[in-house]
Amino acid sequence: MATHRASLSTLRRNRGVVAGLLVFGLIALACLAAPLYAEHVAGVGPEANNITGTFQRNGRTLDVVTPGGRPVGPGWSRRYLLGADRNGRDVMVRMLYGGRNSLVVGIVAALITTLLAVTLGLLAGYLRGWVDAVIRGGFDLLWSFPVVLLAIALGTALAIGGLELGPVTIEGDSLWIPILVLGAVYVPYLGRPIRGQVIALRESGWVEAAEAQGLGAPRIMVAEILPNLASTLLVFGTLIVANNILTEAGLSFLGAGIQGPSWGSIIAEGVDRPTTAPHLAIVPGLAIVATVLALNVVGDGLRAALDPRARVSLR
Amino acid sequence: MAEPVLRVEDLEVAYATAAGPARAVRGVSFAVAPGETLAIVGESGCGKSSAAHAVMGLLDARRASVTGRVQLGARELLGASHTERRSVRGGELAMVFQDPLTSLNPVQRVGTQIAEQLHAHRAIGRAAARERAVELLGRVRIAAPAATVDAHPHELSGGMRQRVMIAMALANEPRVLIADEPTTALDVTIQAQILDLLAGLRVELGVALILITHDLGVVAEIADRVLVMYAGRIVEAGSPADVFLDPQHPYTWGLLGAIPRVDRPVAPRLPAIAGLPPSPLAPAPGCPFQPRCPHVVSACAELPALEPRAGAAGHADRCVLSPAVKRARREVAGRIGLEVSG
Amino acid sequence: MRGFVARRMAGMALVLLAVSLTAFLVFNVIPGGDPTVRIAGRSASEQTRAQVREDFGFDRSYPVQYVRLMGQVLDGTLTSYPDRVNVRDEIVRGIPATASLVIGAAVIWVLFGVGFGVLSARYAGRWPDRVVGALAMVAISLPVFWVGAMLLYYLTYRVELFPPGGYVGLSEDPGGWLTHLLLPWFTLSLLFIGVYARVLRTSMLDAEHEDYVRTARAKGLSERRVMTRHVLRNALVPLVTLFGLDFGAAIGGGAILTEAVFDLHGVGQYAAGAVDSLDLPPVIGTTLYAAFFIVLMSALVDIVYGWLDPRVRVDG
Repeated sequence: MATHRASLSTLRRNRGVVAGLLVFGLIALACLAAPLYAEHVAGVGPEANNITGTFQRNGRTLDVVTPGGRPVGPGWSRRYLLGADRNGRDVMVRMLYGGRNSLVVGIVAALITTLLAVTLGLLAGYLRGWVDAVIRGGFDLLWSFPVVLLAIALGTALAIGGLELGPVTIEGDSLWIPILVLGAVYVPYLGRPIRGQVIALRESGWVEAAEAQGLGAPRIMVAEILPNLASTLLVFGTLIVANNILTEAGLSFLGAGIQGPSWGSIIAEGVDRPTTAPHLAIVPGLAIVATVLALNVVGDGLRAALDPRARVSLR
Repeated sequence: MAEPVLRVEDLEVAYATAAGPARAVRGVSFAVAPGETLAIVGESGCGKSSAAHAVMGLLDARRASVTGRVQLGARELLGASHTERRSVRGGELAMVFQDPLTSLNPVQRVGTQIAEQLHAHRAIGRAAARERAVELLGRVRIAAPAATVDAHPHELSGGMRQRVMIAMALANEPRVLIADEPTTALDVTIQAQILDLLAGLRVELGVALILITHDLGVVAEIADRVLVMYAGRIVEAGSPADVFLDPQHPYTWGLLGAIPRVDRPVAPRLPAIAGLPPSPLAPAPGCPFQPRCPHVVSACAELPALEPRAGAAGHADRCVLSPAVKRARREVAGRIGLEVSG
Repeated sequence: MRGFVARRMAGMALVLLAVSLTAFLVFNVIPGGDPTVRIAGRSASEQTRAQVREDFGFDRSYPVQYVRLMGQVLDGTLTSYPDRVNVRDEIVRGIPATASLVIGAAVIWVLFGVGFGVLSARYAGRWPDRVVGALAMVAISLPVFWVGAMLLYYLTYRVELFPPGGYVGLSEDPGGWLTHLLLPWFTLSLLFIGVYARVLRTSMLDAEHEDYVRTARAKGLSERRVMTRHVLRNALVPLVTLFGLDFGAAIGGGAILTEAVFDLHGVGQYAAGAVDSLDLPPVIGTTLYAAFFIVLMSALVDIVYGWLDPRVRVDG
């Protein structure tokens, strides 16, 4: 515990980490406040079409979308702060809602991945034997599929007909589809290092001592081994969220991710015809880079502070 | 003593740490003659390894500061250029390390590794180098040298690996061989073989051997002279007979007393020296053993010089107590040891 | 060594079998709704639907369906019903583009990744290391498709420095082949360069503290030789594993985003197009193709690893 206290102060001194947390915090807060912004500042929702409308900016009246099909770009006005898309929708509002979707998917999926990876990793590493063989085989199998392609394939298959697993039915356009897809696909990425660490811990003397004391397997796993995984989880956690945001953006860009506003899908709209609406492609990208970079910096700092000798291994 | 082949004077090694300099070696001086075996003993952290690494020039200049004089023959090493030091390292001055499994490159064949040392110091063809590698493996008494030369380290047993390390060190006919705990990582039965080998090589090749160890039994077997180190300083020096039969420094008494004896009744507790060695970050003035010594007197507050006090010219120590007092105090329960204070 | 290879090959076959079963589960069993509609497309005629039902065996039990599906995959009769094209043919048509993209990018990312990694390790803690480290951090935070889009916008539209996407065959026009691939190569390799530089830096710094490096120095070897023959040689090993997996994934169509943005019509883009139109057979086909490459590369990597690190060969 003394080491954790020391690491915490090192962490606070690391300016990169602090900056990263601040940036991420700000972005997250802004996105959480999406409904507030929509209602009080912009006056429209994320799906409100407004192709033929006009609005005021700097005392002038502008077309939201010109007759030639060119949406207005970013500027300093309450409405259309970041411009409009081809349907006349307020990009800033969509950015905030999209960010909210992306962050929710990224974080919840990361939680699911962590839950599954820790459970499976613990069981495999501690119990060994056939349990280990099966789980490890599962990891290898899942990891044989290219992440993006698998996520796309799953996302597509499930988007069409939704998901039916026994009593649970999920609609195709629910946010849960990309959450579950991303959550499942990255389980081996975290599960394997966890398993490795559990095995290493198990080999160390004090687990044997605990067993000799008569403590049962479940109790040992939860009370003794789990706390030691904390630093690994913390480091990996930030990286997985960062990864999820990037992957989800890619999926949404292709149409296999979030079926609503998302930073990736906005970029897709901009890419179609960059000549007329470059801001649609540029701005969400910057948002993604900022968010992911902030998370990566935090993750890096965590790794340095909590365990400078930790190997973030991929095998 | 004959003209020494290696002379070390006032060697000081300090490591740069976040909490200030850690002084691992504080003014160590010794000399070794050709064919002589010098043993340096002491507990972990006493500075013996640091001293050896400093002599070899293996310490990173950014992390450790080394001062003093190290003379190999007529050459002063500490101030010499990188190239000069490199030409000596692995050539005239060679070292064998503690764990042969991690000290050998796992992905290279052992023959290649030996040949590499040859190539670094002389112009020699690949075939000739390989021949010499086989010859060296035979010299360290490996059973099938021609087959072993192509093996990888993990394919060999611990004892064989250590022999390979020794063969490698001997490749360029060194004048001085430093062995840092060469038997610590090996089984007891293998230990004896390796020691035999080292003793034999000393006679065959006339190489001076500096043996670093914490095992006093090993020292008694093959050393000509012994240095006892504590907290970065030499506290006693002399022949094994001097140091084991007529030890002058309380720390030596403690070391000897801690050895379990088979020829005596079993004591209820294994004697240990109470307390811990001082931290190299905050060296206190005076004799470094004061906090743990039951025989401390006021004169100990000033660091005693290392000089012969017991009569024999070659036997020096750093304890100000008179020889008579020492003789009386060092007997505890019928054997040499350190009475537990308090 | 030969036994080791044989074992890995056998393992590979088993994994492929498992992969095919999983794909079947994922695409036919788990999702809800009518599988016939999923395969045939929403606007299919009743005749097409009947054909689909027949080919895939949707009116039969699951094992039969699996066999039918695998049968189609293996003898190349898997078709996309709405487009009426053979999936295998389309995949084969996309391979040259994908291969050109991935192999070219791989050469670039290995060279620069290792180069920057060695640079970082050599000057660890000093400014070259910090600069490379910062750049690497940014590189791994960039969405690949966005980088491509930005490059396209600024370097092909605003300033006409490069062709605006598309792929030109090497045999047709080598010059065109090159100019069309430069931007995609840069885009795809950026992320990997960042990752590899960081991994190699860590790997080298770890290796430098190993005992055998100390022995190498004690032997009197030059610093350069210590760095190359001992430190780098051992530090590269984890990178080889990583490369095998990355390359396998990329060539299996994992470069889907880059291909889509630059309109290269490779395998990845074919998959992306199928996703867009919710056309399942091509998605199945490309997924299996991708999995095949990953499994193949994984087995190859194990074999190469065994060659590089003799310690592994013992326990196979």
